[in-house]
Amino acid sequence: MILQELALYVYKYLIEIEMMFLTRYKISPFEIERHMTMLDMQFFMQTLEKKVEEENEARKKAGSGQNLWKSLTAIRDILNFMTMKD
Amino acid sequence: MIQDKSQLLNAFKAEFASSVNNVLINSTGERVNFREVSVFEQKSLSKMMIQNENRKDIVYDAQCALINKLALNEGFDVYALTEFDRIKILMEVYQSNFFKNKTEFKCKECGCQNQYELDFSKAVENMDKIKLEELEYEYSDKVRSFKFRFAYPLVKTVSGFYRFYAGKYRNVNQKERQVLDNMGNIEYINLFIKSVEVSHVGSEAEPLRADFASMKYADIEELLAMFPQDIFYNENGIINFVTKNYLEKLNGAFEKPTCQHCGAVYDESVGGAGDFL
Repeated sequence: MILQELALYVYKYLIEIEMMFLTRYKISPFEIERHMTMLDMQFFMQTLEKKVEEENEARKKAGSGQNLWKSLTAIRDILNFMTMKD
Repeated sequence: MIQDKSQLLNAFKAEFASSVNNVLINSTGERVNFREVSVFEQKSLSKMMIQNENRKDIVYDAQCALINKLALNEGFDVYALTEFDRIKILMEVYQSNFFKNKTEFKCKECGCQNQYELDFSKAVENMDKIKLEELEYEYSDKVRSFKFRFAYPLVKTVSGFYRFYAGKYRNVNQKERQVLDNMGNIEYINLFIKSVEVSHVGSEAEPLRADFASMKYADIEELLAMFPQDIFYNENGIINFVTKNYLEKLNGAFEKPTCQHCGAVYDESVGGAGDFL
């Protein structure tokens, strides 16, 4: 049961990430998939979420009402840090 | 966690460098290294498991194929191991590849809100304490005497069983299938029989011996149908014997979370290998 539920959960999780990469960042997720382990991906997404939150806070403080997800800064930072092509 | 130089070298044999998980195989006593699951592999497995939810044979073989692919030791074949080992490897793979999220549950007894995480490290530790021994069971009536030997089934045998099972129960409805999917059903219990010797009481002739590990499941089922059914169903019969000596021990390795306030057990959590798989 756990493995079956996990399979469904992980599949949804990965599809959402793919959609995000494709639609918001215009980056092909398929290149990343083959070179990343599941742990890397989970760590990557957690770090991304934190970065985005931080950036959002900074924008709010600066008085900007711009939608954060339109920004590529956070993801570029992480990808550069991981020495992968963005 | 990389523990020594050989493990580090093994990590480079994989297509990418990642940490290596060292797992003790209980039936052989050897330690095998497994690399991490890539996103692509997990996605393929997930897709297969979702699409073939009702085909246990396909899901089973897909999981075995992934285990074989993750192993870094040359010549490793999960099909030659026991089902006990397979369950343990799957638990280790789960443990080392997924972040553990905290889940909340409300105690039915005192209403206290609790937090727990699905962590199987304790269950793996408990599984290492289980002795994988072969046990004997004897039964005799007025005419014949039966001597059974039991052990955890081989992965190869279980895989063959699911393939046979998928063909046999192709047309049953969802509710019936759920009953059959239970690990404790009689057909699954039959897999624990390793061999049987049948002899006539008072006869000096050599007993007839059947080695189930090398037989196809269809033949095993046919053979068992000829035996007196009392052997299986009586109070001290095979079903109770296997349940008590194998399944209960395996399921006993899993510990359910308890309420921090009153100590009541949270029933809806994972309570055995069947819940995990």
